[in-house]
Amino acid sequence: MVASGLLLKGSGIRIVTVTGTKENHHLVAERFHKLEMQNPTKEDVEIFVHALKAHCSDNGVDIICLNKRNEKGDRSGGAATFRMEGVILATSPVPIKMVHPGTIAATDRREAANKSKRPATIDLGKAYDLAYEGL
Amino acid sequence: MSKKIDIASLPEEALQSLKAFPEFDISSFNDSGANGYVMLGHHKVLKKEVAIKIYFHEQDERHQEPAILASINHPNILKVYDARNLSPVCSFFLMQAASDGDFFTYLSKYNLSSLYAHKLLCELLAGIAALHSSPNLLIHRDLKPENLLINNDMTIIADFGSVRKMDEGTGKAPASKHSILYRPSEAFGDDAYFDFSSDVYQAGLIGYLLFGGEISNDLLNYLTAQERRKLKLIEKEHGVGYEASTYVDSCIEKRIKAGGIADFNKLPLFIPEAVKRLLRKAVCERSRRFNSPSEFLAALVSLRPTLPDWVFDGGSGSCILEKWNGNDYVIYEEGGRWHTKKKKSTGSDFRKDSTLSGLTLGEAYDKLKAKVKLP
Repeated sequence: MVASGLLLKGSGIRIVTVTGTKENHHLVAERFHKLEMQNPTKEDVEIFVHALKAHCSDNGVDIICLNKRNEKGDRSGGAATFRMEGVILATSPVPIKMVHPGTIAATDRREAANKSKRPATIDLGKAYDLAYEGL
Repeated sequence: MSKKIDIASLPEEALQSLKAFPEFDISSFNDSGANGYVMLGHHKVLKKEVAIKIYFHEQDERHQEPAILASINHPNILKVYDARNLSPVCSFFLMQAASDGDFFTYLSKYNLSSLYAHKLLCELLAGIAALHSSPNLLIHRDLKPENLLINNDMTIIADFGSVRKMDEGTGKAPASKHSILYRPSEAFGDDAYFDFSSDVYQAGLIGYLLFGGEISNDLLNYLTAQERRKLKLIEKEHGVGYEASTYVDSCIEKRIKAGGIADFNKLPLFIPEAVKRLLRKAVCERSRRFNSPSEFLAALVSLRPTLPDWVFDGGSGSCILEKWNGNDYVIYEEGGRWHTKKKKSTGSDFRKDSTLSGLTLGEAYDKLKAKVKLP
């Protein structure tokens, strides 16, 4: 299984892709870790979609995991993340799993020992947590 | 050369294809290809412009090109509608026509704006990624301006005659001997090979051309003075033939291995260093290059929000920047000096900014760059 975790934050996405199983996996396509989409035109969106699809096809991604947003209040996000989520949902070439922060917290309590490949940086770490849920 | 049609003068194979497709109204005929002909025209039933490619092949050879085209459905890869045999050594297929021809002709006619060049390059990489994806695992091996089309402002990858499937065990395919100028360093020598990154290399060279670079098809232009002198001696001794062309090829190989044929200092001065850096990374030696089209694409996507939309106007010799923080700028020559005028992007009248003049284009550009904080 190849899973890509996409953390939507601000006007960008942090991406971590893992392959294998929850017990035994490693990171792939580590240089494909960031996409930006600020005040996009139609062409900007098309190019963003090209990049995402190419990433999925180049690395045989089976599933994309996104951070689930609340409808209002905390973790409801801003306009940019809302727009990016819509674009990804509408164009993803692979199935999408929305992952609630509570699910990640529960996994961390049960399976923290499995997460040995977690990147040190905060946002990539969160993207890794999302990808892990797709394995 | 494309030319208006006198049907009676067409080659026999072209006449046979026209008979096989009475729905096809021919509008032009192109015989510049090395191994066949292309006819453009209107398909009366499909109600769209189409092209018929007639090609010659070994007796009962497998028809790789139409089979590949039919198996991939991607907006940046040429679509094939039909394929037929005319004889055991000649076949043709009916395919999508491109409204603006190939990149080579297009780039010789137009100067592209930076954002448009960026878009075309991204589309090329998207098409390459589709070729590389499982289960296709195809390496194009001959990406060059003549093999890329523009249809309604969109890149279309064409000419799949050199395509090979990647060996899943080694991740490689045999090296192509086509188009020496576009061959990456790993495609020379005894262990020559192509892999996915080799297509990225060729895409990098296309990017260099799209952003205003030039690659001359005259191989002699890449020889140093010393190499030219040696070539003259070889020609004197052996004549213009195999020895001479082998020597020229070896010089090109040396040049590609030493850093490539793209001279990034010759890109227009308004192309940001970040673009040059990316293109250099795409055409550098194998171990430091982008491994896949998606890596190259991700880097290009990050660049786009800060990319100024410059275009060089060949007619007036001026440089035009559109929609930079709500303003349009033109750098132009008048009375032996270079000046800058500007207007609101939504306005109509340009006003000269006397603080942004210089003796050279570079001087005026540097002043503008500092004032409006161009990358």
